[in-house]
Parts: sequence; C-alpha cells; structure tokens
Amino acid sequence: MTALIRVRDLTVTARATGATLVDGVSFDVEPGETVGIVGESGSGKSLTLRAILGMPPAGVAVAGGKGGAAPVTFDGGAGDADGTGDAPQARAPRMAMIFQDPVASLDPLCGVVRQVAEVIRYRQGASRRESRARAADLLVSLGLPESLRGRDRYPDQLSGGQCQRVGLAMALAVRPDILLCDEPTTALDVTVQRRILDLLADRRDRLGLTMLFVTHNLGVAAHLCSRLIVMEHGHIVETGPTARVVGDPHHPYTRRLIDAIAHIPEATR
Amino acid sequence: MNAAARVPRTLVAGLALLAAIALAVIVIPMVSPYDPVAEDVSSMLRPPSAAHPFGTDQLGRDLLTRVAAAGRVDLALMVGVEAAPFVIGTLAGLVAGYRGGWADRAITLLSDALIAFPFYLLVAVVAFVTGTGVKGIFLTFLIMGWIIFARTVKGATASLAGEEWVESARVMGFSDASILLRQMLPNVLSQAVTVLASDMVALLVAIVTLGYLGLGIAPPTPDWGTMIADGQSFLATRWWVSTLPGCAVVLVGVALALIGDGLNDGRRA
Amino acid sequence: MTTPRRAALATWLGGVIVHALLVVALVAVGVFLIVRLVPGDPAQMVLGLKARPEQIADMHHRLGLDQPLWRQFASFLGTLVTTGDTGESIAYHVSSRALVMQRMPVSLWLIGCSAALVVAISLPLAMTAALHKGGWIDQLVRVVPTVTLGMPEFWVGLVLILVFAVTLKVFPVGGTQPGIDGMLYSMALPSLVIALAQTPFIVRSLRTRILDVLGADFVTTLRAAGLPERAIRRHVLRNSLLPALQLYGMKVSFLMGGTLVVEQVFGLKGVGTLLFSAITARDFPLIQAVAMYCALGVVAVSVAVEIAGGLIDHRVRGRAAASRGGAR
Repeated sequence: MTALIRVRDLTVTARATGATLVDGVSFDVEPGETVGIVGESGSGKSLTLRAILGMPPAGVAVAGGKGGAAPVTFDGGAGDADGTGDAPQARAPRMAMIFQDPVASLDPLCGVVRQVAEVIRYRQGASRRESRARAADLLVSLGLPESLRGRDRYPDQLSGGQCQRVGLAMALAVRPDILLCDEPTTALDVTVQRRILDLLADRRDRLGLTMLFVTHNLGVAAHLCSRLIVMEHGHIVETGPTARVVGDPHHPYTRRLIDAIAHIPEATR
Repeated sequence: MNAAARVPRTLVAGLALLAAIALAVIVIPMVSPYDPVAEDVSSMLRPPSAAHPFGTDQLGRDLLTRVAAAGRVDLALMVGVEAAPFVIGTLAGLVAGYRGGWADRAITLLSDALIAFPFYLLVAVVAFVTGTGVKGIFLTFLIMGWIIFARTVKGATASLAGEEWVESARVMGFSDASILLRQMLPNVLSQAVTVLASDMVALLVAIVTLGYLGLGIAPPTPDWGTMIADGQSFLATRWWVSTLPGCAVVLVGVALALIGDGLNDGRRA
Repeated sequence: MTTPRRAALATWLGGVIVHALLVVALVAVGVFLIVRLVPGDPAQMVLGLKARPEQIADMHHRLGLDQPLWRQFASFLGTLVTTGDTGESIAYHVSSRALVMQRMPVSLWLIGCSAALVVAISLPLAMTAALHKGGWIDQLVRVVPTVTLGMPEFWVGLVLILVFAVTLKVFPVGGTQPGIDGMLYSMALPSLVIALAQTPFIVRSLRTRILDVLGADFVTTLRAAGLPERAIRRHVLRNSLLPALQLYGMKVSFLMGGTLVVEQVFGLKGVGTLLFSAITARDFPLIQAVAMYCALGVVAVSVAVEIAGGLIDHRVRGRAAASRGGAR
C-alpha cells in the first residue's frame, strides 16, 4: 500500500537563531490509519504537524533531505510542503486541522454558525442560505445545542468543549481526507476530554479519515491511535504499534512518558 | 544569544543622533563668535552665508548660535520636566493596575477628566494660571504628564496581575509592596520607558508650542518656539528665521522617536 | 431579545453614562478652579497693578470672589446647569457662552474636515502596510511617524503656508471664505496640518493591531480551513477596527487641541483664537466657557465611541459592566 503522507528527512530550523527544532524526521502514514505523535513540549511534534499542513509558524524554515527532496509528499508525490505558503487546498488529499486552544482558534467577533457556514460556502460551493443550514446541522450533529439554529452564539458564550466541537465542525466542513489534531483536548477538563476523543474516533470511523494526532499525553494517544511515534528534542526515539509501544517500551524516554500517566491517572490531564 | 548583536539599529542611530545634537548644542555657543542674546542692528535678517550659516534674525543675532542656545534651554527643560510625571505616573499605574477597585476607578476618572480637556487648551490654561516661564511649564506637565504613564502601566500591570506566578507569590506570603516593586515593576518598566521616549517628544513640542503662543519661556531667553513665532511675520521673504529652528525641533523628535522604536523593537524581540 | 440580555445592555449603557456624568462633574470642578488657583488676586491680575481699590472690589463682585468658596461653586454650577454659561465676558461684556457659540462653526468645520481626512488616509494605508509587510508602503508607514512625531503643528502650518500659499499660491494664507466650497477651500491647509499630525500614529497602531490579529490563532484556523484571502481579510479588519476606534476616541482630545493651535496659525475665527485672546485679556469667564465646551465635546465623542464599540463587540459590554474602567 502506498503511504498517504510520506515524511522524509523533515528538518525545521528557527530562522533567528539557526537552532534545529525538528531534526531529519521520517515516517509514513497509511490511508485510514490513526497515528499518534507523542512527546513533551519542545519535542518538535507540533512543528512536524504544521509542516505537514504546509503552514509552518512564522520564523521557522522547513527543509527536506539532501538534493532538495521535498520533506513531505502526499499520495505518492502530489504536493510538497516547502513552507512558501503553498495553500493547503491545492494538495491532492484534502487536509484539515484542529487546534490546541479551542476558544482562541475561533474569531471572537463572529458567530460560530457563521464561521462554520463560511467554510462550507467556500469549500463546498454552497449558497449562503444553504451553507448556514448545513453548518447548523453539522454543529448540532457534533453535540452543540439545537438552539443554535435560532440564534447564533459567540465563542466566549460557549464552553471550551463546545468550542472544540465548533473547531471540529470547521475542520469537517472542509470534507478532509486527513485530519490533523494538535493537542485538541489538552486545554479541556478530563471529563470533556474523553467525550471529545470519543467524538473524534466516531467521526474518523464514519468518514474514513486518516488521522495524525499530536499530544504530550501517551494515555490519550493510546486511546485513539493504532500506531505511535515518540519524539524527543526533534528526533523520533521510538515508533511502533500502540500495544507494543505501551506494553514493551524500548526507549527510556517512552518509559518515562508511560510512568507519567501511570502514577497520576486522570488527575492532571 | 549574543546580547550586543540584539541591540536594534534604530536604538543605536537614535542615541547617536541625540548625542550629536547634545554635543552641538553644548559646543556651538561656546565656540561661536556671536552672542545669542546681544542685538546687532547692522546685520538684520541676513540670509544664510559663510559668516552666518543659518542667517540672522530680525535683531541681527546669529541664528545658528541662537538655535543652539535655545536647544540648551529647551532640551534641559524637556529632561527636567519629564522626570516627576514619569515616576508619579508609573507608581500610580502600578497601584491602580494591581489593586483594581477604587484606586483604578479614581485614576480612570481623574485621567478621563483631565484628558477631556484638549491638550493644548489645558496646557495653555494651566500655564496661564501657574504663570509663564519655567515654573509654569514644570507645573503644567506635572499635572498633565503622569496620565499617559499611569494608563500604560495600569494596563500592563492589570494583565500581569491575572497571571499565575503573581497569585503564587501572594500565596507564598510576599507582601503587596514587594510583589509590585520587585516583580511587577521590572516587567512593566520597559513599556513605560518606551512611552517615555515618545512622550518626551510630545513634551518638547508642547514646550515649543507654548513659546510660540507666548505662554512659555519669555524673551530674551532663547527658545525654539518664540524664535519660530518671531519669524512668522516675514515668513514669505525671510524663510530661514522660522524654518530652521523648527528643523531643530524635528531633528530632536527624530532622535527620540528612533530611540522609542528601538526600545519597542528590543522589547518585542 | 430576552429580558436578561436587555437588562445587561441597560446596565452597561447606564454605566457608560454615569461615568461620563462623573467626568463632566469633575471637569466642571476643574473649570471652576481655574479662577481660584491663580496665585494672588485674580482681580488684580485682570486689572493690573494700578487699579483702584473700588475697581478691585467691583471685579471681586463680578467674579463672585467676595463670597465663600462653596457659595461661589454653587452659583457657578447653578448658572452653568441652567443657562450653560460661565458668566459675562470681562473683555466683551456679553455672555461667554454666546461668544463661544458664535465661534463654534469654524472650529467644527475644521474638526470635521480633519477627522474625515484622518480616516480616509489611515484605513487603506494601514491595511495595505500590514498585508504587505516589508513592502514600500509598510516602510513608509513605519518611517513617517518617526519624522512627524517631533513636528510642532504650528510649524508645519507655517511651512505649508510658505509652500502652498506663498510660493505656489494654490491655497489661501488664512481666514475663511463664504459658502461651502469656500469653506472647504479655506479648510484644506489647516485640516491637512492636523491630519499630518494625527494620521501617522493611527496608521501605525492600526497596522500593529492588524499584524497582531493576523498572527492570532483563529486566523490560522481560517487559513487551515482554506478560506480565500479576501474572506480572511474581512475577519481581520473587523477584529482590528474596534481598538482603532477606541484609540481614535482617545485621540479626539489631541485632535481638538491641535485645532486650537492651528486656528491661531491660519487666523481662523474659531474657538481656539477666542481662547488665546481670552488668555491674553485675562478674561476668566470666557476662558472657563471655552474650557467647559471643549471638554463637553470630548466627553460626548468618547461616549459615542464607547457605545459604538459596545455595539460592535458584545464582549465590551460584559467587561465594562463587570468592572468599570478596569478592563483595557
């Protein structure tokens, strides 16, 4: 089977200092697979995700291996992520992303139905009216209250969990093949976290999404992912099927991550 | 990271320009063969020449010497007058931002009431009430000058006060005064200093404007404002009398603005 | 709209108005104190050192200085509230309010033209600069304030007169001409002076704000969702406009202060020239009237801006109601 996402020698450096943030990372993601990238903050996992999306943060440079080979290719070479602002929609597989801070990820001055409707209007080519109705349907199907159909709400009038559902709706409105998740549950309460994870798993199964899930919480990753990539200081230290990585960790760093969830179960995160 | 390499170029340029102006203002009256105050009716309103690089004014005084002598007066006043409002405003802003409640309300109300008066109206009226000359200028800006620092620092402090480390410092038993002076002040001071640079320009412009309006420094003490006012009556035929002192003001403004920009850039970097 | 929402709106609006009234009250106290804070005897100051004692006594009576302080304030406030006046002008022997009102149209013309010019220049310039960061317009927008910061408005006025009125003869040296077109013609140079002083800072802060918003998380979300650039721009502009509006409201006081001085430079018969002639004539009631009406104008504009801001952004209403003046 050909990989849907193929990452080869992905290197991300800070422009200002020249520091290497992601150091020659390579991995594949097969269609329909859910892969977790696990590591502490500063391990380069989020940068890897942003590089795959083709929207690296300002101030970093993305490069591939020797000979100018593209660091990220899709579906056998349809696009590349060179960080030059190549719009995500230009790629062969459609990608969407949900973010860590659910409230800040939404325009504070724009109603949530309107925001989702706007994505539907531009990405699905629906009329204003039609996209508004579809947006409300999508939001309600993702667990937001029916009352949204009548009156729109602003992001700060919703809870963090509700905002993350809106974020998921924005992503699903793109009708993606690949869903990139950047710590989507980190900012949420434990009980809400579980519900959002279940919702993500449910949509993935129903829509046949390929998913890349970045988190610092190995427990969360294990809950959702079939395969894990463990990163530390910009390197991949361990990779393998979830059951194997969790059951028989080879690298001491992985063991530490496992200990971290074992000792304080559900308490902090 | 190399600290020296991170000093913004604008800051260096601004400081260099200011130093050059200060040097010129100090040295020129000392080496000039002309007296800035003594009249010489034999050489009235001469255009710029080798003997008088800036020309002469309506009383035959060498304009270059006079511009430099006025610079001594105006620049010394600018620095001397700004100190007290800076300290008072910063402290008031700290307390109001940290305490909130009535202190915040009182300062907001007072500064709103003072700001309700158009700046030059207040300056003119206060200068009129307190008397013209140096004392009047000093009192005027004592009354007015603190507001901008209080507002800036208040905002910065209020946003800091909400952060976790402040809360934990309080829990650990640090006194309010120690939290304010040891921990908040260093954090908000950079913002206040950035404001200081641009506010000094506004102050200089105000001092000069008061001179122009006849409410500032009284003749025969040289002052850029009165010099510009003197030249207004023969603006059409003797352009240099008004224009050149104004250029001196603009030059100081550029130096201080560069310093302000540099400080701002340094803070953001 | 449900009842609690309407109640919240009323609370917010009430808070804004109460704050404005408090400010006006404080302003009135300040205006009253102008006469009291003069060192020595204001009557002596008005009449000069050679004044006879009975003249001084008469002036004391006219300024109300022969009464106890609280009574002076009560009668000052009473007259101000009932007639909107601060007493008879010493120099002109007519109502100070009438004098201010007579000069008001010219000043309002000047303020209106300047404000329109500021908005027309700054909005497109800031957007272009932020969107093409590092481009030549951006460079220009960043450099110009550095130069204009230290330019006294009166001096800029003189230079513009020198260039456009004396040398090129395209605009009048000063004064006003009849008719709306004549007025616009007369206001061109003075309002340009004020706009030159105000625009650079508005543009600069609006540009910074737009750049901040461009870096916000939600813009990344919109980009990641693949919205076209023009749709993203709409979101960015709406989020940048409110702080710019608030900044503009705060700057109104400077805008008006600028007009006072610029009137003096161009010899416009507005409130500014009235103020400075009143100061020269030591005409206390007239100074008080000018101060009072200028301050009222500034407060009115700030209230309008705050209400407009609350209508744009629902959060302003909630925040302001929670703690008045506490939020930035």
